[in-house]
Amino acid sequence: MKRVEIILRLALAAVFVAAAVPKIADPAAFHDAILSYRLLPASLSAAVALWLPWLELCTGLALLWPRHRAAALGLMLALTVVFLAALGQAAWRELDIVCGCFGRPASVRGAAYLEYLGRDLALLLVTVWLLLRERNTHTAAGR
Amino acid sequence: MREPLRSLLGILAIATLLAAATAAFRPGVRALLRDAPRADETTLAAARDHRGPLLWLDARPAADFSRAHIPEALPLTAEEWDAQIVAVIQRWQPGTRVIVYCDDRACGASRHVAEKLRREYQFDDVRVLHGGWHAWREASGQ
Repeated sequence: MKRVEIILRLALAAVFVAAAVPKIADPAAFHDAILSYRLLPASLSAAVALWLPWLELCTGLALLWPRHRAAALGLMLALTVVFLAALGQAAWRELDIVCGCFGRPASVRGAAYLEYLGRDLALLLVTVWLLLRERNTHTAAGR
Repeated sequence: MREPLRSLLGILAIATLLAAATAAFRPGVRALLRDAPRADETTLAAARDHRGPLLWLDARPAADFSRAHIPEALPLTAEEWDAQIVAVIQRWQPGTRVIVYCDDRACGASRHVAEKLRREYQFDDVRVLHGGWHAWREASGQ
């Protein structure tokens, strides 16, 4: 089980870092993607387009550092819930959005939402499982 | 303070510092925060000041185009591209500035149309209207 935990942790860190790098390189494209969700005004979404990729990068890297692991997992959980909520509301409103998930703009509409929602849901489950393992480890160590 | 909370604040602080540094040292990012038009965009004022032929293209859905559009604009959408591009090519002549618009900043249709015209049809002066139809309506008091 320990080996699975390490593999999943590395994979999760890689997902967050891989998602962050193209967005940092091209914040304008990510800004367009955020705008397409029609959740935030242009001025606020520009700030989010600038800040969020750095947060993803820092969180992904922090997950590899045992001392910061719990905090990183907590942030990943929060981010994934936000991503799911943003995707969910766009699917509900039947918007044609640009995902912006991994930098490369991908048009999402109709049935394509299922793939993206499923991917985020898988990320959420992995994060929750790792978070529970982390808590159990700390509880065991504290005894 | 508990360790995870301290870590969490540390991660947030470092991310914020890096974002601030990016904004400070990359001019393109500062323009983004100011909501300034990008290199491939034009404002309504610049379009009105343009000397030379202009061709407005409406990349919004057909129903929106039917309700109202910029005078003399032609519709051009990804869905009906083959049927609509003929009229666009007939109207276009060398030296024409093409300006594509969709609803507002949040729609990507105008950018997709502009990119396709540049890439596949070698239109050399294609811009996206900053603010789209929303900007036009505001300026014309509708």
